[in-house]
Amino acid sequence: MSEITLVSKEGTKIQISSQFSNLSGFIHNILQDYQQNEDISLASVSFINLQMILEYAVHHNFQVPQPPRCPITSPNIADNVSDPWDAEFVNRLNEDQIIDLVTATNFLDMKSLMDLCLAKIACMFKYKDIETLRKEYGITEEFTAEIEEKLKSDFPWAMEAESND
Amino acid sequence: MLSANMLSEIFEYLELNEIITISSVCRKYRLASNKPSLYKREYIRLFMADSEISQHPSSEWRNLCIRALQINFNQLSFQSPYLNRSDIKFFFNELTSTLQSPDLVFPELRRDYLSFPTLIQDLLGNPNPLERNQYPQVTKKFNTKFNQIKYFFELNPSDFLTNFLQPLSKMIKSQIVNYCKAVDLAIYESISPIEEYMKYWEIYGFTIKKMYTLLYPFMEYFNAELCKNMFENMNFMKFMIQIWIENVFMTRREQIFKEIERVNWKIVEKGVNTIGVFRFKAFIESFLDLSLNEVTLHFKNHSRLQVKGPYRDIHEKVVEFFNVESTLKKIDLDVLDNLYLVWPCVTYRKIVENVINICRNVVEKENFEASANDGDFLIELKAKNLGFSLEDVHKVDRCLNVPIIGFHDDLRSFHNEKCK
Repeated sequence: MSEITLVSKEGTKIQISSQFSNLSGFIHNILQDYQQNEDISLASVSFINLQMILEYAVHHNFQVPQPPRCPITSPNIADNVSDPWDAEFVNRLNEDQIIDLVTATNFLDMKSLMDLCLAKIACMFKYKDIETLRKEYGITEEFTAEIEEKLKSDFPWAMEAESND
Repeated sequence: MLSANMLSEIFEYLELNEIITISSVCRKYRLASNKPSLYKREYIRLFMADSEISQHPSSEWRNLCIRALQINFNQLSFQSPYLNRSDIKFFFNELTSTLQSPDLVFPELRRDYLSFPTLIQDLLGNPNPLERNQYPQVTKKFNTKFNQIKYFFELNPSDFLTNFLQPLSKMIKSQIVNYCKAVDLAIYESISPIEEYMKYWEIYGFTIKKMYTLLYPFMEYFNAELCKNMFENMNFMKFMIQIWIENVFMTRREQIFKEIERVNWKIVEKGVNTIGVFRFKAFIESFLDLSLNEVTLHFKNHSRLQVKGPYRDIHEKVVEFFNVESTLKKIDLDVLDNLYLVWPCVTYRKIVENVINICRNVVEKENFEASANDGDFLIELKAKNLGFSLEDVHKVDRCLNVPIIGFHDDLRSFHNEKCK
């Protein structure tokens, strides 16, 4: 079997090499009982995401690439991946698109791309203090002033860790 | 919108400081950052040698991480007229990196095996200059500084103790205690606990040696301080070992005893191979290290071994196990010799009776004056088990001329005869 047919949640069909199963646990399992010319329905994956996933798979020649560095060492994703294409790929996407892609890769059990997306989001958190994160993510204060003070006294390095190095 | 599960996955890519910071952003982030595996991985990455991550990690890892960060923070804030911040950082980095990734030499080569069978005896027996040569770069930096500090000490000893030595001791202790708690947890969650125990003990022993070397110019003050404020006859090494006993050995005690029983069954079934003997011997040696007292320094060829604590407990277990005639007949004494270092007290009533009678004769014949000897537990234990009076035991203890080596020989020939 050389090609399989994937169907996005909108009903669009895409043909792809069966080697895609190297990257996706979900497809790998499906192929155990696969009948020739059978469509594989991906009810949780949109056509746009599926296209991106296939672009990623084709670039990596259907082989699992090296995972991103963990923990990441820089807020720039390019410093944390071995293939610069991976960095360019995720940098094209905005945060909502990345989150969608994480959901899709989670459905497909596609660890390598999911790790890349998670590392990209982690880069957005890297080196940011509490207030910046609250502002960026529109988080309103949920802790009382007392809890806030206690957190600051319990974890002073949360504020000062950077100056110690 | 990021779900809590997705956040947890994202936090896997952040460092400990960042995870802690982020946990203060809001309740959702706090919840997502509470994943024990995050903390276990980070603690091990930052403070320990690689551990087997095999079982579901306990939530205790988070507390250990927080405590470790607190300690680091306090260390960096430590103000002393004698050591500046970079010196303190240097010293603690040395401590952390040794615990995290020691230059592990093959343990048996590290020791002067012919003279000292255990790590601590080796440290006692090989005085510091030899050790200092092993870390020339580190000791050079520190010795210069320490020589200056010694001068300060001479000028104002009480200030030196209050403002320098005591807080430094407390910081070392807090870091070591936290580390030992993490070791205990790593062992508990491991699928091969004894291997983990041994690995961490080797690292710990190595760290004790290295810290001893680094702090050597201060050791006499350290020891005097410990002795005065903590326990009598306490010194840096014993202090470090005590921390290990309290935080690792005692909590793993039952697991260790089970493993010893497993090995004992293997001895009976003749299932101990060379590698097994080698590994288990090192395991037993580690308990000799923990049972250190001054007398054990002379352990080599010392028939009247005097040890306390863990080794003695283990010995009791071994005695208990082999004190069954049917078991004794099956065992290979050479294997036992190898594994337990001292000949375990695998005896029959008759043999002990004979020995004690010999002792009685010696005592009476020579009108032997009692000495303040703590006792030879090899005989003491067995005699107690067999219902001899304490007085009898003490007679044996006090008799310096009791042919203990002959006693072992008697046991051997008796055993051989029995097994024919």
